[in-house]
Amino acid sequence: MNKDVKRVSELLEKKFRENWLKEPEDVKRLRIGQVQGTYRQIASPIIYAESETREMVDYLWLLIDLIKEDKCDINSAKNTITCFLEYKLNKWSAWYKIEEITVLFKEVILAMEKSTNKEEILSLLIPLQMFIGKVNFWLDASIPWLSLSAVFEISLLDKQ
Amino acid sequence: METRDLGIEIGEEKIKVKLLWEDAPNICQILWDNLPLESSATLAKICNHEFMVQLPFNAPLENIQPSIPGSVGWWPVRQNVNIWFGDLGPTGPLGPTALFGQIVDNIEGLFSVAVKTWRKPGTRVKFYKITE
Repeated sequence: MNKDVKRVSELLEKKFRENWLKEPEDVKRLRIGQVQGTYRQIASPIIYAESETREMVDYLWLLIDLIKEDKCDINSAKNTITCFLEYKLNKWSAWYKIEEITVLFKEVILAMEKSTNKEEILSLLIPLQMFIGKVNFWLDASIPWLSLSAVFEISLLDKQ
Repeated sequence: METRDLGIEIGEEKIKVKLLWEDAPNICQILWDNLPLESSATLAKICNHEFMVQLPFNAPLENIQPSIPGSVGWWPVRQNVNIWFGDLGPTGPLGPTALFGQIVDNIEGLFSVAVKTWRKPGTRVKFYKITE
């Protein structure tokens, strides 16, 4: 296995383990309201970040499945993944101030360029998917769903 | 012959799960080899009475069956254990799931944990071996 691919794969695994029972700093900043959206409100950034990471986990899973079953050639897979990660990297960094994930995305993009076979691509994608899944868990657990629902219900009364 | 079952401590409650070794041997074995484990739970937002707990490994889909209250399933997309404990209602799971266990003790204890988890997500969960 290419040494850069191996290094990034191990880095993703390490970061995943570090976040297992400890809230990532990226999530903490969103949870305590340090990241603001329109009119300085603090709900949209964390809700958007949660939904985007959730969707990303699903799409990466589908892509992993296609690659495993040889339904996607190596170059198409690499181009698709790089395209996904570059788009999200810029958006997540600018809007949600997610720093650690975006640094990792850059590492994955560089390592992806050096990967030459299915096994190397999967060695990056599988831990990446699990890592984002864990970040998504922390974001999900930080959103006060019960309170949001109550406020939403009250807002409906105004419209009746 | 020794039985190999799963203990789950979730919040302040302990439940016992009979592992379906014959129907889902791969999931059971991978889980067993990784025990004990610690993780955190959230409650499903749409699918009614369901806990979701991410685990740090991948396992295949097998024994795809409709879930019922007490079913314990595996959702590989998110490396999640799903624990169903009550009425699944019209907005229940999207379809059959990879079932690998069935709760055999203290399913009722999950209702109070669910309320607490709904108010404050991230309830700590411990998975451990039970052998007899």
